[in-house]
Amino acid sequence: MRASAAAEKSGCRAVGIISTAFMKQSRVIARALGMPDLAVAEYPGNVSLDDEETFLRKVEGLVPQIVQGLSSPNLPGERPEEPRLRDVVYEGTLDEVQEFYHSRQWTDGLPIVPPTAERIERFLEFTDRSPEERIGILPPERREATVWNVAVNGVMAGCRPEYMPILLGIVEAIADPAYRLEDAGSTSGGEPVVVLNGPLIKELDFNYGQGVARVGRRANTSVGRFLRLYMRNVAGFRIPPGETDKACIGAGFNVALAENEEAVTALGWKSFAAEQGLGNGNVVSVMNVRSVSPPIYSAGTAAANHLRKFTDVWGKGTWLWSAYQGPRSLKMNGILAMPPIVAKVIAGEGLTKRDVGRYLYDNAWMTAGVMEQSARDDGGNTGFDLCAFVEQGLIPSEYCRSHDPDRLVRIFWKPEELGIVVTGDPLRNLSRGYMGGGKSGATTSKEIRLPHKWHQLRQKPDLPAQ
Amino acid sequence: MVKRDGKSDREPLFEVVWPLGRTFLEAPISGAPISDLKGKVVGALSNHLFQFDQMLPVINKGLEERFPGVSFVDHKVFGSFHTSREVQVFANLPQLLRSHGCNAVIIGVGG
Repeated sequence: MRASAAAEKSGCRAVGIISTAFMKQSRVIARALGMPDLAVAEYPGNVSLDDEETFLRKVEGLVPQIVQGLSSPNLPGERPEEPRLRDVVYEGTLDEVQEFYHSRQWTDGLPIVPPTAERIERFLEFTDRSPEERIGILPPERREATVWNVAVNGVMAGCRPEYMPILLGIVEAIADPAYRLEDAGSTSGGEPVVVLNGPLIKELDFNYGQGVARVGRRANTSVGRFLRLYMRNVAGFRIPPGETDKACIGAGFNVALAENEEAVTALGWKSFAAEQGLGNGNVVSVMNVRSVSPPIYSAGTAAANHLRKFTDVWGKGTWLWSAYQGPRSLKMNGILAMPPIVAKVIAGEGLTKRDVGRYLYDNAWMTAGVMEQSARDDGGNTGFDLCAFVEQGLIPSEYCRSHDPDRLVRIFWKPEELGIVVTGDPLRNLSRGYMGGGKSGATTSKEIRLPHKWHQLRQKPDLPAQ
Repeated sequence: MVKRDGKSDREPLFEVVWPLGRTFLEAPISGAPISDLKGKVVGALSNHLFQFDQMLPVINKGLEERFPGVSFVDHKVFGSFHTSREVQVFANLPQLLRSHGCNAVIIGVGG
């Protein structure tokens, strides 16, 4: 629909071909673009599963729809009536508030903390920014992300008020056009992960050790929950009865990760944030996670043992099946969560985080034929042709040394797009690989801005947050 | 504001606010409707998914049968918008559509 809107703005009538499963979502997006009547032609069913005869018949059926769409007027949409910032929309008991919010799809299926003005004001104390400040306009519903509604959803998610600077950083990250939040409702159903760096980790009691990715610690869990709740409420990604989150199966929210910065310093490594170019202060990063690898148990006193295991389990075992995203999207981030005891073996041989990424890049290979078939299986991508991409100058020539489908091509796209977060049980040898979503949800990092009264606020008596 | 239904008076009541954000609508600009494609130019914009490259020849043939004299500009001219170059593809679109004389665009495929 964005493509249709772009064409219409250029003065050309446009008709978009949409398959049945995406028709409702297309209407929501069209309304949000201010063009509720953007013309569509419906391809019935799923093109990937139709035989040739059925495909031909259905495509011929698109022609009259296209003709109809090109000849219909495109009328502007009307602004809906919406509450103002501090308007009270409901008064009720705890249970009544839950039902009210749930009936309007304003929750994530779990009970929420009622967002009253008093609770929100406590969050707003932890930022110098005005509540009305706009952080961005979020797709697909094109709603304003504001300091105010960050606080509202932070209250609802069960965060503590002092997490507010982190929550603002998270929303700045997903509002950044480089993150491409508009792709977050796609079939692959990726789920973003937050990574935290800096002194706030210890100050706010974030877990960075055993069970780091498990629910249980308030800071990590509520911050992870906040992000998905915000994506539902302000971005507008909702599974049915909503219309805009098209995850086929999807995944639940990811608990926020924090890096073990003591261990990183002891190893002589840079932090994840520093590798992103943001120094050693408080930084929050967000990456869309398309899949998480199986547990990567690695053993031995030689770095090579561990590096080979990462390559085999994460690269050839998991990443391989989505490796086409690199040449297709020209971007493919990943995060390897590695416990300190494993990192120590690798760093002990003088290797850096970048060296690990380089090793993976240089040693994980697959056949071109499997990569091209995987692309075709995902969304009928019949135009995915590595040699054609090389010819168009889109990807490096090494992807087409010949036309032999058994020729080897790299699994990982770029070594510098593979990050390492040192975290987890410091004495266990299990790592985990988080694979990104190509151009969708690329790793985006933001500095966290503390209010000028931060230290004063932190010295207040410790009131119960919720 | 929606008031409660008059349940227990012993439980605390919460006055709660809206958790969404205000919708920001752009003023729409759109192309004029076209009822007759004779002599018109139809471009194609592709995300290289869902066999659009196989759909297009069939669609173009169907349009030609209905509107003799219609001509087409292939999707390769504009580039795929399903890569990290989407912003660039959209930025280049107005000039490319103009230079090729396009009156209409078929876009595929959302799914």
